[in-house]
Amino acid sequence: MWVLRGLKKGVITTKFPEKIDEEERELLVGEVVVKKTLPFKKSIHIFFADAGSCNSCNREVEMLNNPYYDFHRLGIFFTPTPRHADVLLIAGCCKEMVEPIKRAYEAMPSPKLVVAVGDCSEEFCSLCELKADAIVRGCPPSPYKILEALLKIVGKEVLI
Amino acid sequence: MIAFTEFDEAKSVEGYSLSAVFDFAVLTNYTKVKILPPEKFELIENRPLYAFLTGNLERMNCKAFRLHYGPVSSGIWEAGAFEVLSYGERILEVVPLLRYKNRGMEKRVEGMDVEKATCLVEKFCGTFSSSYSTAYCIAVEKIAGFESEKLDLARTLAVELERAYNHIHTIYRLALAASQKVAVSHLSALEEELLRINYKIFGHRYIFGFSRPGYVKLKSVDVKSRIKNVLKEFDELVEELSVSKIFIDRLHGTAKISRSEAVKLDTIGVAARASGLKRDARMLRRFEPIKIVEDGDSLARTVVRFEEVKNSLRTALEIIDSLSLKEISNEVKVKSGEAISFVESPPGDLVLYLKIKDGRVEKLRVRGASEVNFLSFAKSVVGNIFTDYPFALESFGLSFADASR
Repeated sequence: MWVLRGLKKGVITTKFPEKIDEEERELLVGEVVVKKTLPFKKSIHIFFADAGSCNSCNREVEMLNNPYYDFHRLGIFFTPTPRHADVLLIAGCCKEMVEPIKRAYEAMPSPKLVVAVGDCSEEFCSLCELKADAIVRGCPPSPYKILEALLKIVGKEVLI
Repeated sequence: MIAFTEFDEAKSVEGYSLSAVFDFAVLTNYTKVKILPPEKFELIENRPLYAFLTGNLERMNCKAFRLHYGPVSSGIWEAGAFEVLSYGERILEVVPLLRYKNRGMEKRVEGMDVEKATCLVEKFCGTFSSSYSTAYCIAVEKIAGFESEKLDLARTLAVELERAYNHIHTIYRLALAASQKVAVSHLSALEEELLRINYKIFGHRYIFGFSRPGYVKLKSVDVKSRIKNVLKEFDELVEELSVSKIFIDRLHGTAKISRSEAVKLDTIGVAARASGLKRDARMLRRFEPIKIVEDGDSLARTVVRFEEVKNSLRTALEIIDSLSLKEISNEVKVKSGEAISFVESPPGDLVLYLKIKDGRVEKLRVRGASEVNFLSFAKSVVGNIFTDYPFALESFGLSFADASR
């Protein structure tokens, strides 16, 4: 029975932007730099584009969906198309991807921001001549840090 | 839905959706239908349904079109693309395009110091990092003529834990494709727990920086109860998923590879074991292959995965019992020479060729498991329909980063 299993497991979601368990503090790997924020404050939609990463950053972004982080409770959602997105998340660095990412960026409606995830994506932004509005450093950065960057670009406070 | 893309320029005719108009026209002898202008009749004639009903089967393939899916897409989560040949629903041909992930990593490593190169070798594919670093370190140690039982054990622990979380991720993706939302939450929670266990043992969620030639670093192996919990929970989830008719029905009979086809395509790893082939790189060292299934469809591959996750976790528990050291360090003198090493990475066996000259890497070539199995996937999915596509792709557990470095 799925229902009983869920009840047995209980709530495992973190209370991240307000506080964090002592044990999980060591998981905070990475560094967040935010240069520009969006003009609205509630919900944002993200389009994730892989620009040739080693796959670990992809996995960390995908992990935001799981019940430990559950980023829907903070009003953050993935969209399947750049035309509905406010934020372009980029991970990795590969020359072949410069053209496709540029086209995806052009398809987004403004106001739009670019968030670079991982150490190598900063280099990619300079290849693309895109300005990274927020950078999450780390190889790979932990999901907490990616969440922190996404919260900071809509002007929310992160107390950790 | 896909058929629309071809007739996109026509859009809708007099308020009807194009597809409905066509089906209506075909079923009621289209010459009597007056809603379409004469130049649009050609479009009707080229519909597969019309060709089929009028017995003009030659026309069926003439309008097959190529769909370029990727590299910026929401479905694959990776920078890879597929070129799919289809006339609407049934897939006639699939070509995976791997060039979008070609980062030139093998060239980048050449000329580097042997120990420093391990850092880059790990990042060929981040999710299979311990398989890559283990293969590289074994090759270096083979050239130096060095062997150590304890190092071997510690590396096996890393590779088995990596296999467990990658297999759980694959099952999670399959459940996601079948809209099993509750199972998805449970499975992704298990994966996160395994990643946290990785952090506890190796100091990194994706096991970077754990293994170097002649040296491994373990933070702590005090995680037995947590792994036991994961094993118990996974056991219950497997039971629950195996009785879910919706989930099983989507996998059963999808993307079949028979035994003879698997031999011809040179399928390896989980896909080979699901087609009744006894192929496992672990046999070369110490483990027997775990589970062999004969069916060769997506369900068979998933069943093999179920068993392998349990087996990997049990193996990890056994190794943790016998490991007490936190750090194992040996002096390995780097010599010149060449060697080949095999490691069983999550989708299949990984082959690495290394040539060292004067303490530097002269040549490094890797054959990832996904590189071979993408071909098997492309052949197996032919004849299936578009809705089966994610179940075929995810059941192989492939990674573009592994296939093209």
